[in-house]
Amino acid sequence: MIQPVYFDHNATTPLSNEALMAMNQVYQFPYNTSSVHQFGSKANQIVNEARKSLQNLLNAHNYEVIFTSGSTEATNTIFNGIEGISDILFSSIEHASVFNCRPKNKNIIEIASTNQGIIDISDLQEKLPKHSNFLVSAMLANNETGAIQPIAEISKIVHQKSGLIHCDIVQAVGKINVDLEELNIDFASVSAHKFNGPQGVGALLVRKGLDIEPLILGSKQEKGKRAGSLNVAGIAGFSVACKQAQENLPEFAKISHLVNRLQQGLKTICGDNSQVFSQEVAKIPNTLLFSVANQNSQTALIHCDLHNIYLSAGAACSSGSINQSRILKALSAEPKFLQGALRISLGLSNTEAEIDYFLNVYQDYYQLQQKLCQ
Amino acid sequence: MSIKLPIYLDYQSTTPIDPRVIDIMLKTMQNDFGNPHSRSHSYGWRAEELVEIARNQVAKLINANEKEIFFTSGATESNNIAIKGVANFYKSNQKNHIITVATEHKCVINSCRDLEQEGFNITFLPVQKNGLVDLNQLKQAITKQTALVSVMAINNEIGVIQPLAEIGKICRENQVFFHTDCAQAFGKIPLDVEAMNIDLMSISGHKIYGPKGIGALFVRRKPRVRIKPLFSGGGQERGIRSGTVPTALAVGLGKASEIALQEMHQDLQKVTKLSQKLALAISDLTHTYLNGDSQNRYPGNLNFSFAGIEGESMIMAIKDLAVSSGSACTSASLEPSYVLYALGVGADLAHTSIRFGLGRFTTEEEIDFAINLITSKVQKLRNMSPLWDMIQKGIDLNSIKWQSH
Repeated sequence: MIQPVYFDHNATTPLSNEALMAMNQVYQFPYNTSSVHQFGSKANQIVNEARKSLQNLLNAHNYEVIFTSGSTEATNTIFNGIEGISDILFSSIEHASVFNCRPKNKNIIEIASTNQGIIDISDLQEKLPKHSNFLVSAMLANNETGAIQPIAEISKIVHQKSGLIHCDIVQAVGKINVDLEELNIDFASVSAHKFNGPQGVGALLVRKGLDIEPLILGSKQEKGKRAGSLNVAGIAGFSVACKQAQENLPEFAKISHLVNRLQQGLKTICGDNSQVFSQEVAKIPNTLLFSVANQNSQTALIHCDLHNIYLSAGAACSSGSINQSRILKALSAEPKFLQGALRISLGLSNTEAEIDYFLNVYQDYYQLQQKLCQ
Repeated sequence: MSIKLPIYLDYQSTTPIDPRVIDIMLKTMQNDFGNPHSRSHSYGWRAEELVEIARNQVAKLINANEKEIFFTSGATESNNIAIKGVANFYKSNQKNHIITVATEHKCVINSCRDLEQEGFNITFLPVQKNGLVDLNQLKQAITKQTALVSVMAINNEIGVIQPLAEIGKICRENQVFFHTDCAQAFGKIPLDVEAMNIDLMSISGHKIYGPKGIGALFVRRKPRVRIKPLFSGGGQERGIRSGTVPTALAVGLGKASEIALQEMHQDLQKVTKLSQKLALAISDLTHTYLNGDSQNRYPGNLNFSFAGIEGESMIMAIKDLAVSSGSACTSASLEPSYVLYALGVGADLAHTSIRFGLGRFTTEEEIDFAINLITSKVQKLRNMSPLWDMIQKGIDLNSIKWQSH
């Protein structure tokens, strides 16, 4: 197979053609939402339509949409921008944009994860502060394991104690139905490029009636909640991606068949020598994290890359550092599995033939490794 | 020759993207969609390679090293990072004073105001009637506690160019970091971080015929400037700015920088010629005033006050020209501009100010059309205007109290 096989959709996704076309149209005009002339009103029209597309996708009509440069910015805005919050609680499996965001003036409390990669609710309950000035941040779907977290349940616990809850929904949007009303969360962070929208655009959703302080100060864009000229073309692409995501959800659910085929194939190749993580819990349909005992994922990745198969060992954002996965440790994975994790994250364009091609390539690699070990 | 209306004369608000930039961005989005931080496959490596080429293109335009360039979401974010980042890093060294200027962009002013709330001392230097900083006042304002001087290169509302080289020299002599907001200057006029002793520079993509949603911050390595980041997360951009670097946007900014390096001289010549023609015609209307210094200015920005006319009705009358009254960012409100106020422009003239922004794609036909339109509308509006009547009768308009809308 000469065509590249892209299995790293949780890192970033190809931009959809329709989104690209919408962006190209916007790029033909000097649109700035702050201008008073007709290019300005057109810019506002595009941006407001995108706000609606996002609200429709997430059933977020009771939420303000604040466009940002991405979810990292959105999360940082929340963690720094809620007045009166003294404690922030999050789990050990959160994405780096949450896990590393530790404002100095806040008390950070880490919550454990179960060995299935689910936020440990009893640990959360134990660690909740006595007062109500706290924020819990919990992701809807884990970027490495794909495990779906019990957000509605966590929201209930948080609200019973009159706290606030932020949800990083980045890896769930476009993959499963995400309904903010149902999840009953107060804030959400979302990123466009994880579901076939452009890189460099994201949004922060804030439940109406709640207030936040801006992180980036300047002019009065986004009702004073986020300064800086809006990325109108990017937002137009985001809007198209939202509409397409909504239409494609049934199709996306079918990707789980490919993941099952993959999982079975790997089991046939590796037998008991491998482990699939978060196997017993609900997951987004496209993600499989597995590890082979006493192997190094880097050599497997190189082997795959040489065969035009592109996957990863975990999150892409650690910017060059190749560490043992924080997530695997949080899941209390056996030491022999810590070095050998591979994450496969599929998209709508992946096919059964690609899965089979990967399994062939991987089988050759695996058997060679076993010979070398003997 | 047919002209497409409205004529875009708002280049300070945003610029049309150069077709060459769109072209390369679309190609990148179609073919090289990888996450530049993916370490494990060619898609990631290719995206990273493209981002690094872009970084180099940006660096070249200001005589910097590519390791000194950090991608951000735009100049507003860059200004926030530079000002708050330096202030918060150096506050432990008893450096708690920042000097900036009353006419800076809102994002600089508001970043400083925020620090003021946190206990920093901020000096907002006044400007002279021509909009320029008084260098002696700057020298006098620097103390042992001063961490940073932040002065913009080209003013977004009135186009005056501050004396960067002189300011840089003063800062270096006093061992104070010098930050400059170059959103309006990067790619428009020659900038050299070495010759001008600039320690931090904010850069915007969409002001130089590149895309929105991307900018950069130059941070000097020698002597090293340290920064406390505004965002935490994946640690991208060597910890200075977390978040996935948007590959195609970075490529767009890089290409726009490369074009600017090659064509700045030619752009500047053309804009100067058209700007002179327009300025001359507006001056011929009498009782019109160019705001800001007439020499030290970027010619692509002409901010004129028209005595006897209300700014908003002027904009309505010349709606075939896409222009702003005052800065685009504040133009949703009808308060007179704080920049013109800082220059000592009276409320009457501040209310009638219009900013004409010219750029790479402005044509002579468009300027001729604009001149005809402005001339006929100004005469018409003045004929209907009680203000114009009063001016003719010699009444001082400053004695009138303007009601806020």
